[in-house]
Formats: sequence, structure tokens, C-alpha cells
Amino acid sequence: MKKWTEGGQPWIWLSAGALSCALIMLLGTLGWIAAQGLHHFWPKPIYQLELPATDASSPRALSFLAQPLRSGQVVDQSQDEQLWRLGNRDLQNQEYLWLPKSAGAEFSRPENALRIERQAWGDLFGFAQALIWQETQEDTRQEQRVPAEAAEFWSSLQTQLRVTQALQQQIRLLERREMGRLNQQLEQIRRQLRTSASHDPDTHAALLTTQQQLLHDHERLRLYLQNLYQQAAQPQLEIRLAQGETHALGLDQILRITRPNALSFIEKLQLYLHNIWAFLTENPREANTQGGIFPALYGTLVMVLLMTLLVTPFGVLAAIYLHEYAGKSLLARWIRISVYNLAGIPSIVFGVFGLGFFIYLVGGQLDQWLFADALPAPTLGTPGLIWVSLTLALLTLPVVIVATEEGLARIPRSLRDGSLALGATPAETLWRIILPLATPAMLTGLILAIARAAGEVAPLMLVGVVKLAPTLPLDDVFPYLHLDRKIMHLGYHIFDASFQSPDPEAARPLVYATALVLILLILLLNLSAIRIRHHLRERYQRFHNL
Amino acid sequence: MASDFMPTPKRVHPLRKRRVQVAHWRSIWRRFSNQLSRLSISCAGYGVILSLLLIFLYLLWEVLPLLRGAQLEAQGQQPLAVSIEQPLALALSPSADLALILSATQGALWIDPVSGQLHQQQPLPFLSSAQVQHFSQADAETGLSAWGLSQGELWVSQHRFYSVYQEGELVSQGNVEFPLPITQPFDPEGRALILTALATNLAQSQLLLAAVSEDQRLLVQRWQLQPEVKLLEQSVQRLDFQAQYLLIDANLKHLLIIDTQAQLQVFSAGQEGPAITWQKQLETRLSGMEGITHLLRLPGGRSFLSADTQGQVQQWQLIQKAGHELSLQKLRQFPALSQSIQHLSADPYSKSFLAMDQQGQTALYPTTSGEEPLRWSASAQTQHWSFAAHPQRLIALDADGLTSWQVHHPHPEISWRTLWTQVHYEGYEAPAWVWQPAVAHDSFEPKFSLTPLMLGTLKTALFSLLFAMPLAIMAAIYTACFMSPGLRAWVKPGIELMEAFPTVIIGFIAGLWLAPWVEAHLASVISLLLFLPFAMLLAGLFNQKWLPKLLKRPVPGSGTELFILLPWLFLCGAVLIYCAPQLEAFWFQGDLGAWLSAHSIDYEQRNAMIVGIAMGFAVIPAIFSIAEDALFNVPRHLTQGALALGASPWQTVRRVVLPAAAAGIFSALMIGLGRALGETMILLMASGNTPLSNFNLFEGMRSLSASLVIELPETAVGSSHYRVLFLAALLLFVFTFVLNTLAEVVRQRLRQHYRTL
Repeated sequence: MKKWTEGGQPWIWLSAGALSCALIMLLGTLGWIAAQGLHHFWPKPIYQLELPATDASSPRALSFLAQPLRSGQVVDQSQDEQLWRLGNRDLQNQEYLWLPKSAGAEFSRPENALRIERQAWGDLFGFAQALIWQETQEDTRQEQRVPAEAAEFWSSLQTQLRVTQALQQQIRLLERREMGRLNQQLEQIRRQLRTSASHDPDTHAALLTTQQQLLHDHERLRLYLQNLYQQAAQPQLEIRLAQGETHALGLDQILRITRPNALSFIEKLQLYLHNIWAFLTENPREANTQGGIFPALYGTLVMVLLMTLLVTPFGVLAAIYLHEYAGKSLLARWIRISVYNLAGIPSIVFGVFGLGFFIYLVGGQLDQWLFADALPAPTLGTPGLIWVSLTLALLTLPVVIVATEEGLARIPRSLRDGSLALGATPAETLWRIILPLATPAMLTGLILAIARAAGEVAPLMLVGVVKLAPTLPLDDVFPYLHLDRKIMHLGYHIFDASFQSPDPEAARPLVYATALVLILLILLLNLSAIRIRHHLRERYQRFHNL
Repeated sequence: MASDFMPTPKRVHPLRKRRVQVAHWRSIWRRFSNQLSRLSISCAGYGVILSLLLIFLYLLWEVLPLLRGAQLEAQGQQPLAVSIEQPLALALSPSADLALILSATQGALWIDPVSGQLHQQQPLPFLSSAQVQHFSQADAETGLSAWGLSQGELWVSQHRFYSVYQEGELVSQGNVEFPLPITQPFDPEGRALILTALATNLAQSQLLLAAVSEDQRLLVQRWQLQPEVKLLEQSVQRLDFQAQYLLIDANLKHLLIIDTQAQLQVFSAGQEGPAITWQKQLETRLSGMEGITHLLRLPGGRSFLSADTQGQVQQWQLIQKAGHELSLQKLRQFPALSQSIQHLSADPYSKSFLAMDQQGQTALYPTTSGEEPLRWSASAQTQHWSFAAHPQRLIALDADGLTSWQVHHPHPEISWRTLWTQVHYEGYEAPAWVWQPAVAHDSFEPKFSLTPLMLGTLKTALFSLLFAMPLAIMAAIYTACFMSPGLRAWVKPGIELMEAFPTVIIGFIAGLWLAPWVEAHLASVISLLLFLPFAMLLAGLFNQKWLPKLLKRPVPGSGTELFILLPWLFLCGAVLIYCAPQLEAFWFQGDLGAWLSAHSIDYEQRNAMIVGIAMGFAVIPAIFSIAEDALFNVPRHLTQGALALGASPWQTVRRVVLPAAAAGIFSALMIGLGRALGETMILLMASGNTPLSNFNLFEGMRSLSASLVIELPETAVGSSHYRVLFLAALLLFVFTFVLNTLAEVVRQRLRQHYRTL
């Protein structure tokens, strides 16, 4: 024992313990996020809960269709409870229910219980009763009704759903393309009218005519769309709820219908993968508590790409300057240290700078020069994509500079000397010999910069990231890249959905899933940076051995 | 390529000559492109360095106006086109383009302050029949004035300024109205009113009118102004002293009367049967005042100023502490003027006021900070002063006309002292550090104390370092000194990868999962912190003593301890969490929460401990990585020498490696501290964001960075709040920059030191 303590063995064990704790924390957090995030997409069974009539206040036995969420001790601290998700937010007065495990509820798993994901109001749990739609044949409208027991029920439901979805697709396209174009033109004319009224009566009159024409087109399109909407809303699904009442649901409200209790393992797996895919490619719904994260993912990528375009030339050139031309003077040393240290400046400071300098000062000035006709509504003098990217570019500049300079410093002196000795000018040595060799280092720097930018949230909240952006920053409408638009971002999506959500219970699994996507993205980027750096080292090892 | 630089032969073949010529041009081009490349790269380099410097300069540029003192620019004197008799008050429109003079004989005179021309003279009906005995005004934003007349009548006038478009320009206009119906004289006995006062509440829905008649009776009426004008209550009572000044407090509950003996008497409204009476609640002296010459209610009425014959100005408030009687409290004493004070006037648009002594020495005081005022000398004949907001303008009325000044003092509520030291704000019992930048009404004092935010930031940094430092440094020691290279190649980058973990995710988990979990399992957390180290030692001891020979004693430096400890600690953790309720029952009588509240320890769900753990998690990789580098790079021959001399591995680490790498570990801690100071998302999500000034482990805090992200998008550009937030950003910048520079310099020194070893 004495020997053990004298040799300092306890300290070794303590230090090993500290490392173990750090590793457990790291792996535990990762595992927790992955488990919570991935678990959410697995189709959960629907239970039918029959609660016996307990006392005089609730004389009727209650019946619910519900999915189990998690257990805990929340309402009553003394006993174990299970949280059930009852769905049907618009039809019942509560969507979630903490039920004591000892409440004596009877459970069953009805084979044909449906989970219907809807455009609004969240999920609906119930049983199908009938499908009703109207068919127009030779000017007579005929109501068709297929009861759920009929053999062709599921196939006609699928057909009708497909028809409705095709209609909705058409509506979306018309709204985005045609309506968007009309609105854009009208807005343009409105601005021109404001300036032309006092200047040129002829142009003014012409503009007014065009405006009339456009308004006419707008009205026609609106009526046409209205008609389409009515068509889409016409087929209806009759649902029987657990308590027995029926409810008619327009097929245009339905996103997806599943029967989780009737699924085999393979089907569940298919549905699971489909759910994950839908999460990545769909728009968020219900104030970011449902649906996917596509705009956030897309916004993050566009923002990061734009930032890369901005940061690469300046970062690389600054690194070359520091390494090749700045020399070794005291001033140069201090400049170098300062640039390195900027990597440690809190990101929020960059956000403050971005808001004050870029948006209010530069953006405000640009508005005066370029978009004076839109004032006082700011175009660039308000948070937007360009300022997000610029702020992030400034933020990641030190990362790129440091990595590139490191790469430049690793290049063996012999190569440079050899090139100079053969008569190449310093510029030729730089551009033809050194830079190609340093490319992987630059790439490493860039990837690290991207990883940092993708995980950064605080400064973005000041310079142009919002909880819900109606449009994408890069789309098929001229001028394609919309620098003035506000964007959505994965990190901010996590903050918003977890802390500012109206329905935290529904948002929580989605937040875990979003966090998992963000972590995977960043891990991937970092790992590839490490990979590249590793290759780089091996490559120079070869040169050293020459 | 290289041949281009070969010496040119003397006799040349024509074809060759051509080549030489080409070579000549090429060499010029090459020289040119060399210079071009050098120039453009230098330009880009300078550009980047300058743009990074720009961040600092820009932040500084936004902050500097805060610390600039007041400046006054005389705009000259303008004689008036009409002569004014007995002026009672001067008012200026917010844009300083229209002035109103209320005169005891001429009524309301609307005057252009720039040209001195009379726009309009509005006679007031009551002036023809009675003499004005006393005139008083409510807060300037209401435009209400009370006219105490000789026949016991009291008229309330209200002047309004409004803007109209005239030929494409905004022009101010105004008029005077009488909001109250005059049904009967204010004093039923018809005696002259020698003192008047009026005030509205914050919403301007109620008006309190008070007057003292020449035979010392106090008359009070309370009116409702919205939704309809009606009289709510009135009362009359006799005073047993000679009243000299009369004021009404903010809630219209107290009347402050100063008698000719400089005694303050406070009357409060009370119900007596159906009638309302005003009873004396307090009688006290304004201590330190010698012969009061002026009393001024500050906008909002939460405090008042008194001035005396010695040139002193003091600020007072009435305060009722919980369970105590009403009392008078001196808020502050302002730097004195040299002579008896003739005039006091408050700026309704910013927290400052003006005082003038009988020789015309004038001073513009910032109210909240109570600092040295801006002094200048004005005409001793000046009768009235008034303020305008945009532009900040000050205007004085004397016998010769109007004199105006341009004031440059955009942030009177901010000074170095109000930012950092405790300030006694209106309505507060004692001086305090308060961060409350957004106020419900302009008349409230905004409270810009950066100290709570600074303390919040330091508190988070402290607790996160307390958590991260032992873990990170011990882990670095183990990885650098005792681990096999193969394992190290996995563990080190693994932990460094943790650095890229987005803090928004850490914040989310800390705020939504860890905080409620810890609140429910506080005993488990405490037992984990207490017993896990023992579990580690136990594992070591067990391994040494009782394990069979075959498995015993992993070779030192192989990292095998890790494989034993990982599952063992996991198991211990699970057991401890499971057993925590029993421990809780044993130590805290079964309920830690109740025990804490019994010992008056506040527990908030999102507290410093949660932030410390979460932020510690975020800074561990930074500290670990740099400390490990420093430890690992200690020259091998030093450690090998120590081992060869018979030191045990740990003795080598303690006596040789640690001292050699101490500077590196210090620099790692600096980097960690820098990260903790500036981290935003974790604090935003897990700290509760209440600006408290304490170091309690179980209470939350608000940091500089979280304030920036919450408040900055909602502030007006150029306002005091905006600039103070920029100051917060500048502080973060300077702190982290200094810390990082220190760390970097230390690290470079260390590297050179190793090289020489």
C-alpha cells in the first residue's frame, strides 16, 4: 500500500480517471444525441387505451388512440408515469397525457389504427371509415363513397391521394412561378410609378396601363388557383375516432397515411428510411415542430459556400503575404500573433461588428445609392445572406490563414532553394512550386473554416438568420442568388425549435435529429480535414527523405 | 526556362537573335510579373490585416461618444418682435422651431425662436378678470399648467405642439386648450391661491390638482381624464404652518409641502368615512440645505431636487421600505454652484437638469451619474429655460429676447462611474448595480451597469474552469506521459474533435436535458462529484493488490488503466445514481430541495453549476489539446534522465515534466478562459439570463455575450443602449485578445526554451 502511494500510482489512476470521464462524457453525449435523434423516426405502434370510469367527475369510460413517448415522474412525483401522445390537436382539448402506470388502463393494438400526418394540426389517430369524392361525368356530378371494408378502399384512397397531390403540386408551381413573377413586376411598377409621376406624364400613363394589365392577370390567376384549391379539397376521408365520433378530413390536408400496427419489420424499416429522407428534404411545418429541415440545411450550405468564395482568396493571399513577404521583424511577429489571436475572439463580437458595420453602415449606404426607390424599406440595410456570409468570412479568416501558413511552413526549404537556383523568379517559385504543394493545407484550412462556420450560431442571430424564411436564398427565379434574403440555419433551427417553440414536446425529437445532422456534417468535415492533413504530412515526409 | 538567363553569345545567328529578343521581353515580363505578384499579395495581406484592425477601430468608434463630455455651442441671441410682460413659462417644440411663452398678462405667445417673430397671440379668457397669483407646470410631456388666480379660481391649461406638412416641409404648430370644465371656483371661499401644483399619473389618465390659499388652507382635487373627464374627489383642510413650496409625487398619493422654516411635511391621501382627507405622514428637514430657494419635481415625479442659497443642489426621494414608515432619502448631492440658486429646470428628453445662480453662473448636470456638470455663464437676467430634443437645443428667455445653445450631450445617463460602480437610482432603497436598459416609460431612469454582466461572465468562466481544469489537465498528463503512442494517436484527435462540437447543441442539451435532470437528481450529481475520484483510486488499489498475477500491473505507459477505468467508472456512475436517494435520505433527511431552501439557498433550474458543466465540456478540448502539446514536447532526454536516476514515472512527471511544461499549461488555461468568456449559445440557453451580481453556484447569471445577442437587434442605432452594448463587445474583444496574446507569447517562449534544452 505504502509503496503504491509513494510511487505516485494514485495520481496516475486519477489522471487516467479524468481522461476516462472526458471520454465518457464525449461518447455519452454523442450516443445520447444519436439515440434520441434516430429513435424518433422508427414507426411507433398505436395503442388503444381504455380508461375505466373512476369517479363521479368522469363517469364515462375514456378511450384514446395514442403513441407512447417517454416515462418519468412529472405530474405526481411519487409514481411512475408514462407520457402518451394523443394527437388530434384540433379535436381534443389535450394533445399529451401523463398517465400513471397504475391507472389500470387497458391496452390493445388495433391492427387498422391509422396515423395520418396532416398539413396543419399535427397527427391524427383514428380508424378509416369511408372515402368520399365526386366524379364529374357528362355534366352530372356523382358522389362516390367507398367504405373502409370494401376491397378496393386502399387502392382508391391511393389513387385519390395521388390525384390530390398532383393538383397541389400544380398549385405550388403556379404560386411560386407565375404568382411570384406577377408580384415582382407589380412591385417594380409601383416603385417606378412613385418616381415617374412628377417627371414624365407619358411614361406614367404607360406604366399605369401595364399595371392594369398585370392586375388583371393577377386576378385571373387568383381565380384559377381558387378553383384548383376547391378541386383539391373536394375528396374526403371519413375517420372514426377512438371515442366513436366521426370526422371528415379533406385529402388535401393529408401528407401521409400509415398503419403502424399492421407493418412488418421490413415495412417498418422502409418507412424508417423514408421518414429520415423526408426529414432531410421536407419543409418544416407547425412553427418548426414538425416536418423536415430542408430550408435550414440548404440555407446552411448556401451560406457556407458563399463564405468559402469570400474567404479563400483573401485568406490564402494574406497567409502568403505573412509567410513570404512580411519578413521576421518585430512588427511582423506581432501582426502574426494578432492574426492568430483573432481566431480566439468570441464569435459574438464578429456578429456585433457585422450588424453595426456591414448592415447599418455599409448596407445602409448601399441602399441610399442603389435602392433609393425602395426606401424607407431597407434592401441591403437589413440582415441578410450576404452579411451572414461576410461576417462568417471575417470570422473564419484567421483559421484559413493559420492553416495555410502552417502548410507553407512545412514545405521543405530545399524545394524553394532548388527552384530559385534554377533561375525562377520568387513569384514563379511561389505560384508554380510552393502553392501547388500547399494546396492540401489550404484545403484543410478551408474545411476547418467551413466546419467552424457551420456550427456557429450566435453571430448569425444578429446578421440575418431567422426562424422561418419563406423563400430559399438560391432558387430558379431571376437573379437566382438572392443576397438580400434572410436564411434559415441548422444551428439556429436547433435553438429556435428547442427554446422558442410553442410545442416543445413535439419539437424535442426533431431537435435531437437536427443536432445529429449538424454533428455528422461537422464531423465529416473535420475528419476529411484530418485525412487531408495526414496525407500532406506523408507527402512531405517523402520530400524530406530525398 | 533556365536557358533564358544564360549569358548571351557575342556572335549570333539571325534566328537566334530573334530568340534573344523574345527572351529579353520575356525577362522584362517575368520581372514585371514578379513585382506584380509581390505587390498584389502585399496589398491583399495589408487589406486583410487592416480589415481585422477595422473591427477594433469600429467598435471603439461606436463606443467613444459614450465617454465624451457635454459640449455647448452658443447659437446667438435673438431679440423678440414683441415685448413680453411677466413671462411665467417658456416651452419649445421637440424640433426647436416653435416657442411658446406663457405670460401673466398677454396669454399664450407663439414665437418663431429663429427670427423672433410673433406667430400668434392667444389670449386666455381668465386673465382679463383676475390676477395670476401662482403658476405651476406638470411634466413637460403633458403640457399641463395650473394658474392660481386671485379670486380662488384655478385654471388648468394644456399646450400642445403638433407637426403639419406645409409646402412639403414639416412645420410645428401649437395651441392652448383647457381640458377641465370650470364649474365653480376651486376655492369655495374665493380666497387667492398662493401655491399650486398639478401632476398626472404615468398613463395620463388621472390628474391631481393641489393648491394652498392665502389663509393657509390646502385644497385638493382629483380628476379623471380618460375615458371621460370627471371629478373623482376633492378635499379642503387647514394647514398649521406657512407653506412655501408644494409638490406631488409620482403615484399621486403624497403631497410634499415645504414651509417657511424649511421643514418638509408629507401629506398622504387617506379615507375617512366617505371623505378623503390628506394626513400628515412625515415631518422632517432637508438636511444640509440652507434656506431653500427652489424645489423641482423631476420628470416622472419619483424624485425631486432642492436648491439653496449656498448654491447647493440635492436630489431626494420618498421611500417606503417594507415594514417601515415613509421616509425621506437623499439620493445624491451635486457639485455646487457658488451663489444662491435662482433657477432649476429639468430636461424632459434626457436625464439632465439645469441650475443657474443669481450671477448667471449656469450648470447642466447629468442626473443619474451626479458628476461634474458643464458650466458656463449666462445672463443673470434670464427668467426661463427650455429644452428641445432634435436637435438637442437649450433656449433661455431674458429681457432682451431668446438666447439659444446647441447641446452635444447624447448620453448623459452614462459615465464611467454609472457603468461600473453602484448607483442610487430613483425608487431604489440603496445604491445598486442594476442592468435594466429598457424602461417602460421615458421618465424612468434606464440602468446601465455593466458590473452584473461582467460578474456573470466571470462567474461562468470561473465555474467552467473549475470543472474543466482538473479534468483537462489530468487527462493531458495521462495522454502525454503514460499512454502508448498507438492509443494516443486515437485519443488525442478524438478529444480535439470535441472542440468542433457546436455549442448550440451543448447548450440545448444542458438547458433542456441536463438542467431538469440535475434538479431532479441533485444528490446523484453531488455523490458523483464526491465519490468518482475514490472509485478511480479503488480501481488502482484493487488492480495493485488483489488482481491475479496474470492480469496484474499493466506495463506503465501502456494506457491499460484506461480500459479498466472506462467500464468501471461507467458502472460506478450508474450505481451512484441508483443509490443517490438513499444517500439523500441519510444526509439531507430525504429531500435535498427542502434542505436547500431551509438553509435559504436559492436553487434555480438553470444555474451556474449547469453552465459550468456545459461550458467546461466545451473548453476541455481547447485546454487539453494545448496542455498535451506542451507536456508531450518536453524533451525526451529530460524524462529519460529522471527515470534512469530511479525516479518513479509519477515522480518524473511531477518534478521534471510539469515544471518544464508549466508555462504551456498556463497558456492552455488562458486559451480556455478566453473561450469561456466569449461563449454565447451555452449561456443563452442554460444560464437563465437574469442579471444577478453574486457567485452563488445554484443561481443563474446573465453574461455580456448573451446580453449582446438578446438585446442588440432591438436597440435603436446610436442610442445609449446600443453604444453600451458595443462597449460590452469591445470589452470581450480586448479581454480575449489580451488573454490569447499572453498565451501565444508564453507558448512561443516555451518553444524556444525547449529548443535550447
